Amino acid sequence: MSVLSAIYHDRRFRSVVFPLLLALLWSLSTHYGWVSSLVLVPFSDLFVALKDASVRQSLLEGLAATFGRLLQGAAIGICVGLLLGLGMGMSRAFDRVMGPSFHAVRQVAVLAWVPLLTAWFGNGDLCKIIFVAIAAAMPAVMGAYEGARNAPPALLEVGRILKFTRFKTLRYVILPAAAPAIFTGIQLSLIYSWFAAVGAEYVIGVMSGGIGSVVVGAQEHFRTDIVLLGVIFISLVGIFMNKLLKRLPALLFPWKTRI
Amino acid sequence: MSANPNMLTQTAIDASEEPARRAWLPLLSRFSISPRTVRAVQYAMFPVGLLLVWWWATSAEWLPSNVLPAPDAVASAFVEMIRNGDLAEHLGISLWRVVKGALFGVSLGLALGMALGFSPAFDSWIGPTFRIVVQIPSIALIPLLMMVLGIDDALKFFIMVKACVIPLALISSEGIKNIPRSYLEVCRVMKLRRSTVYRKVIFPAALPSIFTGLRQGLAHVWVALVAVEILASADGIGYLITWSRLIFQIDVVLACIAVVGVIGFAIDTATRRLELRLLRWRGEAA
Repeated sequence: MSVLSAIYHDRRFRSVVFPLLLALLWSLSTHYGWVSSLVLVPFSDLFVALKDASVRQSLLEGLAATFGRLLQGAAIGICVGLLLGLGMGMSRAFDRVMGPSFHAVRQVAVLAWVPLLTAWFGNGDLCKIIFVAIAAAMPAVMGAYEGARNAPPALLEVGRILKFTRFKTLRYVILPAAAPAIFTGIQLSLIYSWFAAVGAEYVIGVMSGGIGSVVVGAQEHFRTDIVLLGVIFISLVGIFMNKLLKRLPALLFPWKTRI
Repeated sequence: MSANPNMLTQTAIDASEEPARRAWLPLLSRFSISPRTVRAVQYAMFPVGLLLVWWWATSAEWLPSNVLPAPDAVASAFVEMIRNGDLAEHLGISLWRVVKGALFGVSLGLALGMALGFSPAFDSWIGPTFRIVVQIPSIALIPLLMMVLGIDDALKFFIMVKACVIPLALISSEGIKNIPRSYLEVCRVMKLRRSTVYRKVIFPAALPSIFTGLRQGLAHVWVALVAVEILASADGIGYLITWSRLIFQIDVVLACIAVVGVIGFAIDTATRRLELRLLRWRGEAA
């Protein structure tokens, strides 16, 4: 009795009950055909599909193509975003010049830019990379801006007493103080750019390949198993990136371990 | 806003920025240009400059006018859109969807957030699964959902509710869990009744985070709706954008993008105002 009650109160037991119920529901509904096989396929079908070398190859190649676009777009977006954010955070004057325009652009849902981008840059790789860069730039600006703005006033005063140049203030005061905030911004940037890189393939065009294109193609051919695998792959990459990026700051910024 | 000392040092930094700036400060007084004018010029510099470059680019026809329409073409497209009722029709559809999605999403999100925050038992059953499931991005789910729900209102409704529920439930439940221990200890020392504790302590202490969640949730609803309408829809403002793009009316596209931005801004400002008003008792420090 006490064993049962211990299990019942165990957090790990409780956390797996709900997923197990869902899995049971899944297998029952596919087994008895409660839902169309277009919508949900038996769990085992996923493994069958995964065993197929051509399916595996197309998924992995898709992931690689999308990830490549993410890296290029995020690199551009993060660089531009950090420069803009640091500039706005360090200089009130520059903040007044750029700030309102930036916040106006930020208010627009990122995907709303896509039709404009396709008109200007076609629907190839270039357009997708620019789209990813826009999505990546926003959180980078915000992170750098917040970080530079919240640099400790005491340290800034020391810098002024030592007659630091702007560059020295940036190098020795602002950057170390802003590093954690900047990193949080970059972390968000990378996550957003992953979603943007996948989404770009749905809206801009599937011609240049990628995991999103694989999913769209599978959807058109009613291969629900591949669609499900694609969804799982896309989610796993996002979750994995998130986990990895959350571990990094503690290693990179030992002087600010509170975060 | 953090406290006053910070602002004082900020202005001090501002005043003594770099020597170069000081050098032309006397010039200002000689021509009797007030700092306020300087500020106005700074604010206007980029938008006006951008507008001028845009105007110049279109009048010199660097790009074909159907790729980069002139600013006045965008303005007249906007007026035309209002006059012939296109904007009212599609925006009305979108806004009605937002209202429906937000009402449902907010109620579900609040209920879930409070249940997760107030009841450790509920959290132990549902919480771990919820926190994993929410990490599946909507953008990955959309192809699957399109097969399940089609591209009609059900898809939009689902995506909007998901976009609203997740930040709302996560942020508000965290806020409720993080109510300072000391508050509850004071309650115990004062031997307050349970209902009083909830009404006077726990609920007020949780409100700020509930509102943060609410603001995030509502902002996400609009973004999500525009995204779905662009991806898969047959009406609404997002559809108006994609349709105008297809028939190469970039002036309409630009005008619609501005409208999308203004609505997003309005939602954000409205929730912020509401938050300030309802949480006025927190004072300036919060």
